[in-house]
Amino acid sequence: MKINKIYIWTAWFLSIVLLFILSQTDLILKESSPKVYQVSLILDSENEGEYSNLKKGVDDAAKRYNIDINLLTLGSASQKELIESEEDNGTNGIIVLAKDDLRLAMTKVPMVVIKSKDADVFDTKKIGGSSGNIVTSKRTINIDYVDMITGLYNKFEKSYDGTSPIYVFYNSTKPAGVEPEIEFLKSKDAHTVFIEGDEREFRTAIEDLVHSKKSAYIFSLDKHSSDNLCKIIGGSSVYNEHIKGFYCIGATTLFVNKLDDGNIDALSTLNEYDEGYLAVEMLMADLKKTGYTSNVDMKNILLDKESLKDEDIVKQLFPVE
Amino acid sequence: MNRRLIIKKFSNKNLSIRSSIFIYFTVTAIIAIALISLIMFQRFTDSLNKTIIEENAGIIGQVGESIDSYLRNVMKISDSIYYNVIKNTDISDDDIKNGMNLLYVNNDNMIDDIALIAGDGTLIESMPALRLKDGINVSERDFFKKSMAESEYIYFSMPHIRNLFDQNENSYSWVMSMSRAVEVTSEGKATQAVLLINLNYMFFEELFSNVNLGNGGYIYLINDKGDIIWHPRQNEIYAGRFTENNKYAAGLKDGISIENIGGKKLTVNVRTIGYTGWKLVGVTGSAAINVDSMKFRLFVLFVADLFLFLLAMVNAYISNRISNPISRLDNSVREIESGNLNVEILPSGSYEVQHLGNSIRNMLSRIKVLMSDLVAEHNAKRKSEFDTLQSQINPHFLYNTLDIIVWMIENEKPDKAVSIVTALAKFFRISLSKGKNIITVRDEVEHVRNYLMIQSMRFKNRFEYSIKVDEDVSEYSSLKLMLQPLVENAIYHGMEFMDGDGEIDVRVFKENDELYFTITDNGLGMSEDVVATLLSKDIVPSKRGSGIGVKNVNERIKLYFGAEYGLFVESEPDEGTKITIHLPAIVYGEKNEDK
Repeated sequence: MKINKIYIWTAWFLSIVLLFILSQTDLILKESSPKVYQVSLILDSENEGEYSNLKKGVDDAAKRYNIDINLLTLGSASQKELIESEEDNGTNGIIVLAKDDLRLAMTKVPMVVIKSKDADVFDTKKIGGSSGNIVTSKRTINIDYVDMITGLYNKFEKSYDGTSPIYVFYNSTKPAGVEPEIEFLKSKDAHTVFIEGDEREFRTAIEDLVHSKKSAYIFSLDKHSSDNLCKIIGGSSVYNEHIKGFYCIGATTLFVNKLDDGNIDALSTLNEYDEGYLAVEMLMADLKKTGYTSNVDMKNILLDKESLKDEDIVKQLFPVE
Repeated sequence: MNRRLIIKKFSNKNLSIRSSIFIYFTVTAIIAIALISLIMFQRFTDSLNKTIIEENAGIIGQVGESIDSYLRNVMKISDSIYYNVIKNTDISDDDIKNGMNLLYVNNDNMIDDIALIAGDGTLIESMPALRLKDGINVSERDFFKKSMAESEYIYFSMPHIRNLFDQNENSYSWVMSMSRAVEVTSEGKATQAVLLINLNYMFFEELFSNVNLGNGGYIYLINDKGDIIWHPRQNEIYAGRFTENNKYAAGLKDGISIENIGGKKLTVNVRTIGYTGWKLVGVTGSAAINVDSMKFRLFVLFVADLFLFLLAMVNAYISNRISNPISRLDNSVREIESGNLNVEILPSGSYEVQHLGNSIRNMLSRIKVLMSDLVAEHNAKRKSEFDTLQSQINPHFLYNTLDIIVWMIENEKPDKAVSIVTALAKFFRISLSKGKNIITVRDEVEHVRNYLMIQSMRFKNRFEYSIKVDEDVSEYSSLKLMLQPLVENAIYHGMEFMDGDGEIDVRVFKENDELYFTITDNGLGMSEDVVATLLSKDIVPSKRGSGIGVKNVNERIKLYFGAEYGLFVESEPDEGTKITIHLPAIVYGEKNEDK
């Protein structure tokens, strides 16, 4: 062993210098500070209050994954325009509650789409021949609205007198799940009356029912319609006398309170907190390139007044602020 | 390869003393640095852990005090309502409403509402003004039943949705209820009622949100059964997205303990809140996680490498200091081994090495003296041998010469007899030369001349001889009895069978400051083989001669004048022989024969 070789000493000394540079400076090795991800949450309505629980789930997950959430409600711009705008603004990922008319081709950033189970928001025909910075993200959270309406209808059938008309209210066919719900109900009963519109149309329909001195069962197929109906029916006890049963889809505090009060007979919903949390988890799995299932079907919850005695259900429906 | 062979392989390796010292020192240094680093790292993490645990314990203590203080305040409020407002006041009196309102307004940051509920479940008074929800049967509620059952007991419920009173249908709030049995007076009659105070759950959120345990730690609050009252990830727990070991923590006693929960080593700090029996639990990860960054590990490596480098440099310096004198000594010994006894030995370094160097130097001096003595003794012995040979005149030569002298006297040739006796006398005189071995060229030539005269008479003029000596060489030094054996060799081997036409020619001359003697005969000559053996074997020409061989003459010349001098023989069969003697040209008297 030749210990007097100058090059051994030189190499050793250089290794010490290198270790010093690596450990004490940022010239070579820079320890990355936790990255803050910018994520856009695009709702399918103008009222973010309808999604307060989902927002809580998103916010809790955002805390865990170091995410800055940018909440976007629908205004004059379409969801597709909002998505393109957010992509151009440099968002890291997008979570979108898809309306039925949303069609996505290619996306520049990872995306999680919360959609109706039967809806096909990805236009696979337009995939191909795209530029290199385009990624294909097909992570979806599927809500089975047919299962929701089925469960609700089964509940309704147990108390249905067999003769009273069934009023079905919906705001439009665009919100996710409304179309298949209508299709389902159309296939079930000849006494069904479909009323599309807003508060004014609904109020007219209810008042007509009251004036005709008849009673009916009512279904509300979307949150917006359920909200309007709760306001209309809650406005006068007379209306309540002509409604034999009120069945609705959606989960706002109002609905749950109305269910607790007995104004709503059954409510088909899902754990929106978990839905929001899951959406962020899936998006982060995409951003960090870790394995995660691409498609998740949310589990529906069918509630009646008795269900609210279950503490676990209450905790899920009323997240802590 | 088994372990023994590996050890043998390494132990047999020819490592220099410098490398050995360096390797042993460096390996020792590596082990020492590794151990020190490990111990220091352990001490550092232990210290960090201890500091974090102490700080966290302090924080948890403070939070516990805050909760305790909060609960005591709430109980004081309830006492105030009961003893100062409700007790001994008729429920129809506005004083109850006013008193409750005053306390509510003063404490609305922590209280959502205050309600006084009669024993039958009807609402007596509330702040703010509230209405029980339709269909609500308060007397069936847990808090009501427990409060009524134990009148002295103050009951704290678990967090729940505020659902007893009418409220905004679009909102909800989480509360914790404190309830107790109170005695109310109605129209002079004392009856039992329940005082309900809904505590604002946001108070806990605000209290805990400012608490930040180091090292990713967190605090949560549980009741004595382990049910969660507050947790930073409460909603995630309710949604099944996070699992806490709250039930396990409920079984822990107050204090700090290290728990292995779910494969993770966690520091759990438990503090029980006075009256309620709630437990505040602080959970902190190991400090090792905190110091596990890449840069920290590289820094530890850098420090270890730097120390090792410095130690290696010191090791190299020390090993050089120790080994350089030994290496120099080793080189000197190698020189001596190769035969160079004149190598200079300069002892240096430590005392042992200097002592060794001095010993070798003394030993070398002793060897040189012994070698010199040995050579001198050898030379003296050889000279003594030659002197013995020289002192012996072959008896045959003397007998034959005297026989010739007798014959000459009997045949009345006295002149010749005189000549030969005179020659014989001169021959012996020069042979003796007072015991000297170095004589002048003149004497040596005179000696061989006398010998040739005697031999020419003995051999009855069977050969002729001539001697030619340059004038300027007579006083140079020559070796005694150097020419006579060579001439004798020429006579006995060259002339004995010649019939009067034999010739022997002796010449002495100087050339290039060197002295040359040549003895040339035209006798039988010798083959190359014989010439080759002439100087290697001690061949004595004749028993009748002087008994001194050619080899003997050659060795004597080298002994007295040096290895570069000696004989050179040229001979051809039937042609004759020429022997050349090469000597240094030294004036007689300048050459001391003992040197």
